[in-house]
Formats: sequence, structure tokens, C-alpha cells
Amino acid sequence: MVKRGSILGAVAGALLVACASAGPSEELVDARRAYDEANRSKAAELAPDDVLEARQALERAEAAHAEDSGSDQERNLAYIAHRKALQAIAQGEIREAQQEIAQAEKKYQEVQAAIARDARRDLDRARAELAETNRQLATVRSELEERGETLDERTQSLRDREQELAERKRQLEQMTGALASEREARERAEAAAAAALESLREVAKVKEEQRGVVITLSGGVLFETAKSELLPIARQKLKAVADALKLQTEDKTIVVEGHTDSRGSDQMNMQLSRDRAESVREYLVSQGVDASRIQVVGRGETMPIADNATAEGRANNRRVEIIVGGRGAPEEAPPSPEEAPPQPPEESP
Amino acid sequence: MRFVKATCGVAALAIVGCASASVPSQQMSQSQAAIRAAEELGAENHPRAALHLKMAKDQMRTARALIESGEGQQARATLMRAEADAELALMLAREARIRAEAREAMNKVRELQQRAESE
Repeated sequence: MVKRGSILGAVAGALLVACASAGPSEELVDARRAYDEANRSKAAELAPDDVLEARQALERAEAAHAEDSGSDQERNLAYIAHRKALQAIAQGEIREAQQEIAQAEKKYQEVQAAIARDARRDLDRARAELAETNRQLATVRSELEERGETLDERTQSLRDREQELAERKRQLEQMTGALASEREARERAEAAAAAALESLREVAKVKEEQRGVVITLSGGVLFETAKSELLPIARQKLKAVADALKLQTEDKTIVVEGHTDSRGSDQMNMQLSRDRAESVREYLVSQGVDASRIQVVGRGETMPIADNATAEGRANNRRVEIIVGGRGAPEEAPPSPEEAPPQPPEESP
Repeated sequence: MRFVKATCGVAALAIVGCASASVPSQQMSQSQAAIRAAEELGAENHPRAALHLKMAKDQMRTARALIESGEGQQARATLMRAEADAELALMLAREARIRAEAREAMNKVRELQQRAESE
């Protein structure tokens, strides 16, 4: 409508120019063009009041033109209308810019909100991760502590066991030492005993028999005929016997038996053999052999080991036997075996 | 304001029609106020606004000369032209200023978006 009006105006203007010399002034032409422009611009929508004002200004100029074409009045009003149209266009631009600003501000806030939302989300995630990490850390720490405690316990029990072992080792060493010294002592004792026995063999006959170890000393060496006092040489020999007895036969019984040949009366021989055995006992006791272990028996001529018919045989029968380790004292020599000719088969070689 | 201006215009036409010697002091101060407003908004810094501000000022000078020589009617018309130019200069300055603000606002949005994306 407006556009058609302006076109009609322009046509009319052109017609007027064609017919009469007084066409629309330059100002009016400019004003019309500017108004058309304003009317087509965004101002039509965004600044309608300003466009209306511009139109009214143009209409006044048109009126002046119609009244007096080309007059100062027309040109003045057209000049003003031209500016009004430009103003309306500018107003349209301003409104648009204001809208843009409002949109930008809105957008700005939206983006800010989004950033804040993202930041909050990131923060929440980071917090959650931190919490998870802390949780894992706490688990690991408690596990470590637990292990540390177990380790302490084990270390302690290990130490206890080490001490125990050390103690046992010490005891074992003590025992081993004791055993060793005991064994050593025993060995030493055995060696001494063996040595004593060996030296004994040099001075006497030693035989292992059922009744024990029998040490036989020749009567000729020990005593003078028909006497019971020990000869000096007898003391030497008996010393070896005493030493051997002390070493070897500490806990065994010792029986000293006196024997004679067949010369003289039985009763006298019995007494003599007993006295001689007693002399030997006394000497042994004097050399440190326990008296309570020694029994004395007189056998007289009842148990010959050789033929009394020869001098050699009689010499052999005159003897003292020391029996070690038997079952204690055999029956005390039968008090009256005088007449009995005891002939144990083993005693008659 | 617009109404006042319109009536002034009509009144001016009426006066021009009947009398010629009255000094258009009211129009003068109105135009001067418009020029001052345009200047205050920095119209000189924007080419199109500056052009119309210059036109307004030139016309003010012309109007003063006309008043000096007793041509009140022409002076009044010239003052009205000066006012129209001053008002246009003001509007163009506002447009330039607000355009810059809009650009600034959009740049800020773009920067913020870039920052948001880069993070």
C-alpha cells in the first residue's frame, strides 16, 4: 500500500516534470527514496513508530509540494522528512542490535551455565575418583598394617623358637660334653683297668672262669713254709693286685681263698690256708680295697690243682686264689671237710 | 515531545504565514540542545554521524546569520533543518555505539564458547 503510493507519487512526479517545469524538488526525491528504503528495512517491523513519523513528515512535504511545487516550504519539509526516514532506518538497526545483545547475553548465560555444569560434573567426578582412591588407599594401608602385625607375630615366634633352639643346643652341648667326659672317664678307667690287668698278668695267673676272674698267686712266692706272714716280694705282687682290684672291681665281691699242699695235717693246713688268705686280705685292705667287699676262705688241701706227689705239683697246689665278680661268697669253706677228699674234676689238671 | 515539535512546526508555518520579524529563540535552543546531545554521545567519532553533526552546525551558523540580517522566517526553517540533522546524528551515533556493543557481546559469547570447548 505504502509502496504503491510511493510509486504512484514517483509516477506523478515524473508526469509533473514532463508537463510542468515545477517538478518535485531534489530534497523531495531524496526523501521519497529514503522513506522507501526505511519502509523496506527491518525498521518497518522493529521500529514502526519511527517509520510512521517519517511517513507523516513525508506526507507534509508532499502536501507542500502539492500546494506549491518546488517551494522552499516543500524543500524544507522534504529535507526534514529525508532525515526522519534515515532516523527510522537507524532506529531499526538499533532495535536489531539490541535484540542481538539480548540474545548474546542470554547465550552467554547459557554457556556460562553449561560451563558451570561441566565444571561441577568434573568436580563431582574428581571427588568421586578421589574418594575411591582414598578408599583403596585405606584398604591397602589396613592390609599392610595387618601384614605388619602378622609379620611381628611371626618374627616374635621365630625369635622364641630361635631362643628355644639355642637353649636346646646348649643343653645338647652340655649333654654331649658330659657324655664325652663320661665316656672319656670310662675309657680312661677302662684303659687303666686294662693296664692294671696287664701288669697283674706279669705277676700272677689270671683266668676267666665260671665263678669269676680268678687270680692265682703262687704260695711259694707269698709265704715261707708253714707261715702266714707275707714275704716282702709278696707285697710287691699284691700291690699290683690291689691296684687292679681298685680300678676294675669296685662293685664286685672279692673272695680270697687260701690253698695248701697235702703235707701236714688237714686241720693245720685248713688253719694255715685261712691265715694266709687273711694276710692277703689285710694287705689288700691296707692298699685301699674296700674291706667289706672281701671275704676270706681257707680251703686247706681240699682243692689241689696239681699232683701232690711231686715237688712241682705241691708247689702249684700251694697258692692263694683271688676270685673277683662271683655271686658273692660261696658257702664258707665247709667247717669240717678235713677227711673229705673233694675232687672237683676241674681242679685236677 | 514529538507532539510539541509538530505543533511548533505548524505554529512556525502560521507565524511565517502572517509575521516575519519574530526571533525563533525557542527553535534555536531546541536545535542547540539536539546538537549538544549528539556531541555528548560521541557523534564526531562516527563518520556518518559526524557528517550530519557538521551539517547541523553549519546550518546553525547560517541561521544565526539570517537572524542577524532579519530574515527570521528563513532562519526558522534552517534551524529546523539543523535540528533534524542533529537528531539524525544522535541516532546514528547511538546506532554505531550499540552496534559495537552487539559485536562486543557476540565476541564475548564466542570467546566463552571457545573456552568451554577448549576445556
